[in-house]
Amino acid sequence: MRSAPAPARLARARGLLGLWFLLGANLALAAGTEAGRSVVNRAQLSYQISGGGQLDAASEVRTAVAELLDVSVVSVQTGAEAVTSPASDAVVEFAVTNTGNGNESFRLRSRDVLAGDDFDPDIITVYLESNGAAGLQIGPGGDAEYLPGGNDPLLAPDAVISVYLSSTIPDALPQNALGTVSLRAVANTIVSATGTDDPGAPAFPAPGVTFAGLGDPSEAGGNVDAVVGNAHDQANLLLRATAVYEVSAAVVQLAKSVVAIVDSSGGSEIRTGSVLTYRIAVNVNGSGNADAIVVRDPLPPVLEYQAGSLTVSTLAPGEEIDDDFLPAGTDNTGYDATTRTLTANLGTQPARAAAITIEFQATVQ
Amino acid sequence: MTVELSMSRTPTASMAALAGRRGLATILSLALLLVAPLAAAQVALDNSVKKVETFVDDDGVPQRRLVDVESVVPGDELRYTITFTNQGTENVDAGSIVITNPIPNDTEYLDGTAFGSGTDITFSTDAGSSFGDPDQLSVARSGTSVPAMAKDYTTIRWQFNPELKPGETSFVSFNVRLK
Repeated sequence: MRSAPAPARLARARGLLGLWFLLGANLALAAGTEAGRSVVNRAQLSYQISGGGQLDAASEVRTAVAELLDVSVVSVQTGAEAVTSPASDAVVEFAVTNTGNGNESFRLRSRDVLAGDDFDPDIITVYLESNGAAGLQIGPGGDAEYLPGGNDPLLAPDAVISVYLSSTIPDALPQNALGTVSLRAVANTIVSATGTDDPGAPAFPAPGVTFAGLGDPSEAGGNVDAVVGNAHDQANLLLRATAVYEVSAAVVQLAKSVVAIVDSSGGSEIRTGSVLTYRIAVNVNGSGNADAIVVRDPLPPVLEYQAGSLTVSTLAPGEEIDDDFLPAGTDNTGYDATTRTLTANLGTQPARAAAITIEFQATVQ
Repeated sequence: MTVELSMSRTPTASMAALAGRRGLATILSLALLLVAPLAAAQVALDNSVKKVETFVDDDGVPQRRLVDVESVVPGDELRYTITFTNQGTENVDAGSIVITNPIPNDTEYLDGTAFGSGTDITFSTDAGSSFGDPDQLSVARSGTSVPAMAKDYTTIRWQFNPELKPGETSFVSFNVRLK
């Protein structure tokens, strides 16, 4: 699923942009004036007495901007994430945005046992985007594993971080079964002030609750207050989002290998005149059906297809093999000399344990 | 007479005494120099800020009220009130009081909120170089001159028309939203 083809990634990116636009419209004041700033109002007054010269007075009032604790968590998936059953390393991506106006670190919490779905995915690891390359990379130079309280992401106002949940999907699930996971983010100022990061806990604060002196440093010295923002409204918890895994259309994998080499003297060296036997193993994994499977293999100039050698394990020998590849434009299985391409039209295939094998022979020119 | 009366109330009297040997002319010139700063204290100015809070009353109707500023976050509405009091013994000339207030940093003025009893209120969109009524003001947008909006205002000016007698006080106010 991670190696989604480019169009799918593009679609996701578009979905994300659309979402940001929406957020921008709803939260026009997303970050706003940075916490700790002094807002200065200075009034000047001039006046005259008995037509004399102009006299002046001035007065100033300063207001420190408090730190708004706000966050937005959204799923980056467009629709459900298609997975097989079983599967490991099934990844869904979230975006966590600091919609407050201060520098704040956030405690993340993921959950995989949620009501209202068909199965419980098992979140094995949470990763933070940390290596500068879009998408999840695991291993040396890859993205960092998240440890709550250990490497809580510190975000500047309006900064976004991608968070990946990598899950294991149970075995033997029916087609279209849904499993939901969630991610929430709570400002660490709230965690340290209330002792909880659970929006369901009695101590969890409502929007507007103020923690005196627990905000960012003030221009005027000391620290400003921290104020709980609207993401914490229980009716619309913007600090939490869900993503769904869906056991869905079977996944097709191909593996091509050379299974036999026969040279002109009966040996097995590759040289001019040697006959190579190729096998393409088509695995239909997961559950459900894979529709309209067509395998194409263009041959390089150095290989000449041996007429009549193509076999497909789902077909009886010789059946529907169409070496002249005519008429053009119909669903054919065979070799098209014009394009030097082998085509195997497998149609709809149910997921299965054993591979469908395609074999053919070609001569080295 | 005014000069001597003012001096007698202030530490400058002792300064004058120290300068006593330098002759009357020196004392008088020193005293004249001090007239302006002493008289400047005649109108006292106070600048205060409150937060405009929206709440739902017992009938479920949203209402607005002013509360003390404890914490201000982006999106909050603030009201600034500038109070001026004649603390002196002479009248301040009618039409002479002009209050000029730049819109505070990181805020935008909220349309229609400038208030001042007995004042003519004008606005500036060029940091106070020129002032006009809202319908006279324009700003350049993409090279075209368009009518100014409240958020374009940089400065508010009130001209207070009545005389301000000793002991009298008045105020002007305006609201902004923290960006």
